[in-house]
Amino acid sequence: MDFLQHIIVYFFLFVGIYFEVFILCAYLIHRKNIKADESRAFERTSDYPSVTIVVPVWNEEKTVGKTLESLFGLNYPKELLKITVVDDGSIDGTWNILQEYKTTYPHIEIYHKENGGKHTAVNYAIQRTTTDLIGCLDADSYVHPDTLKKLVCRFDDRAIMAVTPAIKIHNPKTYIQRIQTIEYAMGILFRKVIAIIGALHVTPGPFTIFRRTMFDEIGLFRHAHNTEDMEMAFRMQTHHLKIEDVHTAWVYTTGPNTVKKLYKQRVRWTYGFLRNVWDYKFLFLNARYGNIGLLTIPVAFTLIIGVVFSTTFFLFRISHFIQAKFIEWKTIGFHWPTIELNTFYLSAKQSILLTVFIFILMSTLAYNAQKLAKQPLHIRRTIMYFLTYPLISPFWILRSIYNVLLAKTTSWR
Amino acid sequence: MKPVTTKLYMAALAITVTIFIGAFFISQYLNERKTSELKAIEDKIAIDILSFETQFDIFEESSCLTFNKSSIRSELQSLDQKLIFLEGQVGANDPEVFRLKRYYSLLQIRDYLLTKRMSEQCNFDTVFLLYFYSHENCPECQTQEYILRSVRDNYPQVEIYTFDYDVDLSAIRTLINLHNIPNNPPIIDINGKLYAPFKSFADIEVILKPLL
Repeated sequence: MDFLQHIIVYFFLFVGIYFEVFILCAYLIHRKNIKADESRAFERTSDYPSVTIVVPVWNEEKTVGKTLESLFGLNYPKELLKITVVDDGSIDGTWNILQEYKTTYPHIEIYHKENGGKHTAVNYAIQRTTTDLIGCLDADSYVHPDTLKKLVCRFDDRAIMAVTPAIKIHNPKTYIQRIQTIEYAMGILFRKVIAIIGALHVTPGPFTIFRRTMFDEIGLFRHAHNTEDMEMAFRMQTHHLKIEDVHTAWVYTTGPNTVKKLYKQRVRWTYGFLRNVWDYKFLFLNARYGNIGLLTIPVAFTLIIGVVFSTTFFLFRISHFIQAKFIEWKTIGFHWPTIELNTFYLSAKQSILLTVFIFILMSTLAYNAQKLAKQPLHIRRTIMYFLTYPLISPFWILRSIYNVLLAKTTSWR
Repeated sequence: MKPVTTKLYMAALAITVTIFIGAFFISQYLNERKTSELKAIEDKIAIDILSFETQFDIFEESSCLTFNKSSIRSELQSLDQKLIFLEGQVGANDPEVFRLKRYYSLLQIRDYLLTKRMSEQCNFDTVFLLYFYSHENCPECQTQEYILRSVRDNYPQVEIYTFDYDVDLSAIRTLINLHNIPNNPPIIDINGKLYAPFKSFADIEVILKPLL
């Protein structure tokens, strides 16, 4: 039993270290290109393609105005930019606000339809547009004025079918939002590296730009366990379509401000990932689909299982500790534990040393990620992120697995 | 067919394997240093005991006045804690840990015999507590260890010696035979009298208080 436990622990440690080393190596190898990418010109004198930005809304009366204002502020030829807002059956004052905007800004298009889910609202707009490119912006996200031009210029390469932006947390106020800034910065680095090796498994909802003809080729967004942006990336990968990432094209999204909201969002994401992996299981370890089949999906899946294992192991150890403390209390009463400060008592177990190494690699990645995301280096936030996520992420991972096993669906909100 | 970055996979694999091998050797090196540290402590205790024995042999009863082996006691206690920790780190079956444990048991017996001899000759009212435990199939051992820790804290004058029943050492076997220790640990021997596992600290206090 002990031997089996050792094998499992070292297997997950190996996968964890391997993935971090892989990402770090890929980043260091491509660092020159990534740097050069930052100074790539995106301004032109003419020949911009026409773009439609779809804003699907559902009960967004508080945020939709700010989202639209950020779109109006885009540095892009106005005659080539179409803004389409689709109200997916809101029951609050969203529709009234949209009508007021329509009066002030007549060039925007607004539609109202019955509630059917975010993907139906996006599809509704795609079917009514003829522009070269189509993007989507959630009503809780805002774009930097240069972002669209930075994304659009990548479509000069005819093979590119989608371009993803770099997502940052908008105006972090709470503790949970502040630690998400580190997570999102790391996401920017990971997505950049994964995009370079052609293995992206998600085209993020906020402001990924697609070539319109691609939808004629592989179809519109499908209902996909509330993670339609993930399903679209999986489908694109199966059709060998190219997805590019621009880490300097910034989009700001409002991160969940409480643990409960974060938990709900992550249950939806993890559940969606697991269901999509199941729907596209033929990609798993399939070299025909390149690095997504060999790296992204297997590693992400293994790490999810690793979290389940380590949580079970941790709970087992904790229950043993509590049981021992209870026996101690019953036998001799309550005693404060005495800790002898001596370096002898520092563990030198191989598994402990490897875990320390994982954190060293994570810190190196976090440092490079914050530099890449052009945000100030937050050492305290990084430490808090490393301390908090291992404690809270098992909850949403376990819940997602529970939902998958019991075929329970997750809700968008 | 999409391109696969084979070189990157191989480079990451080579680095990861190197990290694993590196961690293995660092772990070995650090544990060897810990083992050497324990070996040095054991050697020091051995010399201290030998020194006391020699001192006692030279001065006989006159050395009763200067008899103070508190340093050996604290060294033995510290060694015991460190051995338990190292056992948890590298496993009880590690040959080096096993060797250290045998040596530790032998040192305890030597200390026990010396203290007993001096107590008899100097007429000290020393209480000797010998604890025999086992690593295998001994659900009550944990409770006994808590009780003994409390005894150590509350009655520091009690001489406590702990022996792993399963350590194959002729000196321990002789002690087991001499004290008629049955083969079902945990067994606690207080001044030659055997006791079944105690349920609480209060139970052992009832036995100890009249002896102190």
